Amino acid sequence: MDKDKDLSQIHEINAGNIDTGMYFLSLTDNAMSAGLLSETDTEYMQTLIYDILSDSVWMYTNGTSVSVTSQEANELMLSVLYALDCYCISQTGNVITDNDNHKLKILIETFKQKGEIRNCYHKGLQFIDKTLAEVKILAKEIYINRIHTKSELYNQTLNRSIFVFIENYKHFSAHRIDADIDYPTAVNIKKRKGINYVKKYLEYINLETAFYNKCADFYGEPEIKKLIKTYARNNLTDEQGLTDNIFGIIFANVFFLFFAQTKDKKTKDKRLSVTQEEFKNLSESLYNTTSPDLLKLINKTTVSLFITLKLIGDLKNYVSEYIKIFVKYFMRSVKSRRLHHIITVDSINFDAINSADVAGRRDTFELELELETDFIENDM
Amino acid sequence: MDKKANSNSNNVVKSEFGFSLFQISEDKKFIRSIVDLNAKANNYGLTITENIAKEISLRRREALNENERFEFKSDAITRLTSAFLETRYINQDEFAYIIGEIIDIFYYLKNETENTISDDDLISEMLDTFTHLCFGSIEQMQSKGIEKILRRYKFNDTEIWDNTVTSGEDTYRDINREELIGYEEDWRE
Repeated sequence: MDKDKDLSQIHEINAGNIDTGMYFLSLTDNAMSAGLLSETDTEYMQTLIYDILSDSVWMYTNGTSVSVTSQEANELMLSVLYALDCYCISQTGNVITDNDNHKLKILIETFKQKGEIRNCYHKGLQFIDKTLAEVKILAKEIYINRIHTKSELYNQTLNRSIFVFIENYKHFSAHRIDADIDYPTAVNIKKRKGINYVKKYLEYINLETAFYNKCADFYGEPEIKKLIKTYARNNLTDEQGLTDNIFGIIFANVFFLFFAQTKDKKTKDKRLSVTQEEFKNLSESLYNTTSPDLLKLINKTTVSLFITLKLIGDLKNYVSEYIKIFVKYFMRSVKSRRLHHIITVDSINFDAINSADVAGRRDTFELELELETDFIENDM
Repeated sequence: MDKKANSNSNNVVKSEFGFSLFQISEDKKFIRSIVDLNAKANNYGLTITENIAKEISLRRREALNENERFEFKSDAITRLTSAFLETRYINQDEFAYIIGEIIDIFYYLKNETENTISDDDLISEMLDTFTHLCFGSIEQMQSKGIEKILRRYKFNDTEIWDNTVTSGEDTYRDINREELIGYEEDWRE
């Protein structure tokens, strides 16, 4: 064993090992491994947490019972730990880097001090209340500026479920999300629970709405509506039944068109629809492009997209984050000649896309034609 | 009624957060508090030895596990034990056994009534039922006693005191409170 290396690691928390989704437990575990917390320290901390849990049970039962079901006790315990997580987040933020080592050590020293865990718990609750107040404002803002779509999932989540969540949110179940927040965001939210998750969710939705508005300014809203309708029809549903992220649907075509226009050095025209012919020509040419050349074009497209749509600040960062995810799909789709899976093509003709996996979709599509003639007639 | 049908011994808080240390300390406090009831027990011709207290403590722990409950203080069970000393239906030989079963019923009813009844109200209700409806029979308490309390607190039904009640295959004529008190006094004499 490398003794020097071993010694240097003692008393240092590896920030990369900290999971902010269960911050307190993760931090104390790592602090124990690093020798920053002794067994006596942890026993003392457990005693204080047990006392907080006892108080929590007493308050939960309105002072009428000293016992609860194990399930309730477990939930209460998780809510106590969540408040401690929130205290940690209030001190370091949600994203921890190696530069935060000093802050992590301060947190550990605080927990070791007499009675401090209880103070941290109360500060954690204050942080939760503050975040809840921010969430209320954000939810109202989003409701006012919401996208006018027929998607039931979008409407149910943002017009109802979020407000149900806010109304029912309690310290006793602070770590939970007791509402159907099912409409997905384009970028996944990781390592967040309870009110912190919902706040991030609304921030993402806000940015996605801002992107929608940028596109509406550039292309005009009817063009977006037309795209979403085509997307729904290509996916054998209608706009009401859409369960996919609207930002993702729009972004795919925006990116594809910017890409095509960057490749052919054309000016950006203001339409979001991709004709079958355009799709066929570009996809065939992409399928024959090498990966390094593709990546170069993607970079050019990204820059062009930021400039043309005037994406700055948080919106630019969010779109950049999504581009990282999108490019993986894009490259994979090009490689497997299945670009039609991510791009919405006008009046999709399954026969024109010579891919074996489309056969199943065609069968279903034909069945839908038979079953829902009204829907097809209205939309064709 | 199979009151243990849905239970298993999975105590989540205990297993996930390692609180066994506190449970040991809580058990010690509980044993002391039960032994402290000895003076009162003597008034009713009973003696609570440390071994009896340990047996009750063990039964309490088992009952908590079986009913999947977490209890951060044992004082409700101490009050329950103290209250049941007064029934005069419990003799020395059966004391630990009956209190153990009563504790189990207490936790079972706490689960079934979903925290809608306070500890003290439940203790009072159980004592009343055990004395006046079950005449000190733990078997009756485990069937008709539980049913009566659940009817009252879960279904808001108090008819059991006034009407004939069918419980499974067994039908019994219910008697009003005054009659019951009369029977109890006869039994004591």
